[in-house]
Amino acid sequence: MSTRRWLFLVGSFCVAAGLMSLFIGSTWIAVPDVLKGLTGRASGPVNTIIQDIRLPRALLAALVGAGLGASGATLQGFTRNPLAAPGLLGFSACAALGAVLALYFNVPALIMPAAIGFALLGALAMTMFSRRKPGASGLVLAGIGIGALATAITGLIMNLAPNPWALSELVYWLMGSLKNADRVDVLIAGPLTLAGCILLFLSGPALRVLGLGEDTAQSLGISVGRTQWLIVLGCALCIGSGVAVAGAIGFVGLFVPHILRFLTEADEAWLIPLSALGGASFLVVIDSLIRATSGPGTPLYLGIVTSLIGVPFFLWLAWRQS
Amino acid sequence: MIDLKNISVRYGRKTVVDDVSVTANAGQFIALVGPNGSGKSSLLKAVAGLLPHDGATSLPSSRTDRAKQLSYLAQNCTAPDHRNVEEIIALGRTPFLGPLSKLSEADQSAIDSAAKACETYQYFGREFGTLSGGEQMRVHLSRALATDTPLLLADEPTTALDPYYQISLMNILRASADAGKTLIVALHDLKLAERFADRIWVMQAGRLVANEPAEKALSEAMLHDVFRVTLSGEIID
Amino acid sequence: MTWIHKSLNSVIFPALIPLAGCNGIEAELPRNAIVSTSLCADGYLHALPELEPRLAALSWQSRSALSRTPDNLRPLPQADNDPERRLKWAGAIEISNAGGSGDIDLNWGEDFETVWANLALLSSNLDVADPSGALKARLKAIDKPVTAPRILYIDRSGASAGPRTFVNAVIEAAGGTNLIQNPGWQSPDTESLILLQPDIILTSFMGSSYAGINDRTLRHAALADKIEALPRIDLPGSLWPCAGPGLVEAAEQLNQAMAKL
Repeated sequence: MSTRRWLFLVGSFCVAAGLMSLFIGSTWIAVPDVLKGLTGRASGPVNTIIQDIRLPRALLAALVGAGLGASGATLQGFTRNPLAAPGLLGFSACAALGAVLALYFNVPALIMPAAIGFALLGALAMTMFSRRKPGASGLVLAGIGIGALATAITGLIMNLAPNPWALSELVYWLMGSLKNADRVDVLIAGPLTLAGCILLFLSGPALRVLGLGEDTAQSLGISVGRTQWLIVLGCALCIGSGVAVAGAIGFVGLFVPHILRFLTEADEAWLIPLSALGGASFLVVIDSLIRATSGPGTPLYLGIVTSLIGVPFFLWLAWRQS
Repeated sequence: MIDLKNISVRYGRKTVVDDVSVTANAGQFIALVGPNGSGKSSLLKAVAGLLPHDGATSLPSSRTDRAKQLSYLAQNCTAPDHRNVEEIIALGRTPFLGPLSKLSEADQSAIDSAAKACETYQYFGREFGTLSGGEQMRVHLSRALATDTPLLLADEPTTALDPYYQISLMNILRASADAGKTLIVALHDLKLAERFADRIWVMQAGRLVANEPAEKALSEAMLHDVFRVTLSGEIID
Repeated sequence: MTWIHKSLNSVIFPALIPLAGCNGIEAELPRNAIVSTSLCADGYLHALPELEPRLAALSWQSRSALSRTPDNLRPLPQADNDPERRLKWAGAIEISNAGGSGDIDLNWGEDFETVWANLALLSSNLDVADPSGALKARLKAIDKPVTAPRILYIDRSGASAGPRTFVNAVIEAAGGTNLIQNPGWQSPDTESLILLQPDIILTSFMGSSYAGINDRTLRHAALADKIEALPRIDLPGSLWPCAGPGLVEAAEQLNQAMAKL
C-alpha cells in the first residue's frame, strides 16, 4: 500500500478513535446526547462534560501522542539508532525539571512555559556539547548526559521540597496522566505541539539523505547542523508542551515509529507524519481504555499502561521479524 | 578542472595535510596514493568541504553550490538495508531537488543513465540489503554518478571488493573520465592506479611529493622512499 | 605515617566528645512538662488552657499555616517523633497521634465521639478539668436551618468526603446534608463532580502554600467555573487537620456562613 494511503488510513483511524472516545467516560451519556453536547444543545452539565472534559481530553491525548510519535521518528531517523527516543535524549527529563521548578517556587501558572523553556535549554545544551561534531553520536551522548543531569536535579528539588506531599505527587505525575486535561491546556499546548510537529516534518527530506551517512549527506548539500537544530527545537516544543500537561508518558516515542515502519515500510521522511498520527491514535485509544476501565478508586496511569501494552507488542514484533 | 592552493588540514597540533597545491584538468583520472596515514582521506574531505582547512579550492564555497559541482564517495559508504536500490541512487539528485523532493524527467534520466553505466539498473526493485558487497559498491557509485557533476572524489572505493568488482569499478571510473569527468580517487592498490589512471599524485606525511603521469610515477625510487618496498615486493626495514 | 594518625586522633577524638554532648541530650525539664509531637495533639492541648504553663514543646508544624497555636506559644521549641530528637524530651509527657510511641496516644476517629474520648483521656491523665461539657453545649446551641441545604465538600485537589468522615460530622452538626453518599474520603472524577448539583460548595485547605500538580479545583477550567457559579463557604484548614476540638468551631462557623447565604 502506498504511503499516502497509509497516511489516510492512520489519519482516519485517529479521527474515529477521537470521536469514539467522546462516548466513553465515568458518566453514562446516551449517544444522541453526546452529539448534541458537542454543539452545546444538550443540558448544561452534559454540555460541560462533553465540551470541557471529554473533548479537551481527547484532543490533548491526540496532541501529546502526535508530539511523542513525531519526535521519536525524527530522532531515530537522525541518529540512525533504533533505540533513540525523546525520553532517552533527555527532552522529557528537562521538561519535567522545568515543571517541577515552577511548582517548587509556587507559580503553577508557569508550568507550561517552564517545561518548554527547560526543554529548549536542554536542547541548546545538547547542541552546544555536540557542537564539535554535529550529528548522531555526539547528540546521543550529550542527550543522555543532559537527561541524567536534569533527572538528578529534579530529584534534589523534590528532596528539598517544603511540601510534605511533594514526593508522592511527583511519583504520580511521573506515571503520566491526562485526568486533569481542560480546554485551557488544549489552547496552549495545541499550537506549540503543532509548531513542533511542523519543524519535525520539515526535517524529513534531510533524514532520507542522512541515511547515507553524514559525510555523504553533507557532500550532497545537506547541512547536518541545521537539520539538527530543526529536530532539537521541534522535539523541545512537542515534548515540553506534552510533559507540561500530561506528565511523563514514555515509550510511545520509542515503539510507535518501529511499529509503523514495520507495517508500512515508509521511508524516514514519511515516517514522521505517520508516527505523529500513529502516536495520536495510540494515546487516544489507551486513554479511552483507561477511562472505560477505571473505577472510583485509584485511576490507572497513562504512562504505566502505555508501557504495559507497548512493550509486549514490541517484543512480539521483534520475535516475528527474526 | 579543479585548482587546489595551499591546502592544509590540522587536527589540533597535528598537521595531516601540509600545504598541498596542485591542479587537476577536466577528463583526467587521478589516482591519489600514499602509505596509510599520509593524508589522502583528509585531502579528499577537505576538497569536498567536509573538513575545515587552510588554503583555497576553485570550487564554490557555498555548500549547496558545491554539491552540484562535486560528488563524494566516502571510504565506508553505508545505506539503509531496507531501502530500494533506485531510491538510494535517486538520493544522488538531492542537490537539484526542490522542497517537495519530486523527481523531474531530467532527474530520472540522470538516475537511469548512471544506473546503466554501473550495471545496477537490473537491481531496481530490490532492497539494498539483499545485494553483495560488490553490488552495493556499484550502487553507491551509481548514486555518485547520478548527480552528474564535473568532479568525482572517491576514497578507496575498491577496498573489500574481490578482483572482479575491483576491475569492473575501475572500468566504470575510466569510462567516466573518458566522457569528460575529472576524477580524484584515493587508492591503495598501486597496480590498479598505474593501469587505469592518467596521473598519479603521491602523498607522504601530509605533503604531495609527486605529481606524475601514471606510467612514470611508480619508480623504484618512489617505492623505496615513500612505500618502503622494492619493485619485487620485498619490504625494506 | 602512623605518628600523624596518632596525633590527629589525639586531637579529634577529645574534640568530638563535647560536640556530641552539645545537642543537649540531658535537658533540664520541669517535672510534669508536656510535649506534643503532632499538629492534632497541639489542637487538643490548646483546648486545655490550664496546661499552658506545663507546655515544653509543640509539634514541628506548630508554626505552619495549618496551626492554631496562639502567638504567645509559637516561640516554644518544636518536637517531632524522630527517635534521636525525641531523646531531648525524654523526661516529659509526650502526646502523640494514634500508633505513635508517646506517653499518651490520641485515638483516631472521624466523629465527635472521638473528640470527647480524647479530651477525656487527656484530662484524666494530666489532671485537669474535661472541657467536653462546654463544647457539647456549644454544639447543641447551633441553630440549624429549617431545610438542610445540600453541601458538597471539595478540597484543593478535587477530593471530597462522605459519611463516616469528620467533615460529614461537621456538616451535619451545622445543619446541612452531605451530597456525597459514599462513605469515606474519596476523589470523584471530574465528570461526576460536574454532574452534582449542591446548594452550597464547602471548600477547605485551599490556601495551602504549596502548589501541587493535582490542584484540580483551582486549575481545571470546567471545575473552577462550576465552583465560581455556586454559593461557596470556605473554612480554614487549621480548624480540622484531624478530628479535634476545632470541629466544634468548624460547625459553628459553617452554620453562621450558611445563615448569611
